[in-house]
Amino acid sequence: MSIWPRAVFRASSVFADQGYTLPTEAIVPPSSVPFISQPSVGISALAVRQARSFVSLKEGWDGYGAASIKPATISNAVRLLEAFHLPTALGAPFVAPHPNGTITLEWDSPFGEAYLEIGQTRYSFYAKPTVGEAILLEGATDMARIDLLEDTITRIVFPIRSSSNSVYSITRVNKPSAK
Amino acid sequence: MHPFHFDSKGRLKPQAFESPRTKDEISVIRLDFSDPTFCKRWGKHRVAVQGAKEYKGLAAFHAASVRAIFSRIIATPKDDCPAHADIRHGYMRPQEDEPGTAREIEALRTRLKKFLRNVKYYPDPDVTAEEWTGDAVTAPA
Repeated sequence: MSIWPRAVFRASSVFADQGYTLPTEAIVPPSSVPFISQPSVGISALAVRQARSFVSLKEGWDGYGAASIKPATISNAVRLLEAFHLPTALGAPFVAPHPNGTITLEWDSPFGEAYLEIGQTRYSFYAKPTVGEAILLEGATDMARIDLLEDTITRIVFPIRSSSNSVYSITRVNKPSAK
Repeated sequence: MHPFHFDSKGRLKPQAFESPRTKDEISVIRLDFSDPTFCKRWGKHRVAVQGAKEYKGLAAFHAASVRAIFSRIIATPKDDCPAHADIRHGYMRPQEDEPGTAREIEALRTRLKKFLRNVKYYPDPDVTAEEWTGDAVTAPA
């Protein structure tokens, strides 16, 4: 069973439920907005280095019995990080080990946050706008839809433009007040 | 605190108040029954015992802020620390080396982020000193 179509539907409904609409036409960005269609190779490399460094964390690295970070978990994190082509304006994610033996990646901005936790075989992800409901995704790491994850991260955390060559603006639709 | 508990700007992350792997308990000290110097000495003592961590300062909050996120705070006095208490969130990752469900993680982190808004972090201006020499430690109103 695939959860992806349902997730895509939910992603758009997050905005619709709050009275926001995403116009379908592309909008030319103002000159002050950097053009950022290139993959964020340098940022990925930094995050990959951080993730790889967790191999040195031994059992109990947090002083409270934390699990070591297994090679399979590091390999999953590196594979996902290397596959991401996120806008450079997002910056490098905050990469950290979790005491449970997983690796966490976080992006945040005034628009919202995204959190991806990667384990030996599974990942869990959520992206949440500053105002509104979270979009939830989870599944097997080897089945992770990179395009959906990066598109959701970009739209929630850095909604100035999408990962394609379109720029979206979010317009508030004033609903008639009930009297 | 562990270095992974701070972001690049030195702010506390929600992870600082997540349960450790083995039990749903986050150790804290009740300031009403101690003082900042005792908290500092206890923190440095724990670092020395556990290793892997670094004493950096104190974080203050009201017990009501814990209850406000539907977590519990329970007095758990110890012989060498009568002011000891534990925060319990009622959630631990169900399986080692794997994340919890996206719903569980989002719910916990939302609670912890709300909690962090009521936590004031006091970086220690002189971690090597025996006494607390920083500002008066008070929880946000």
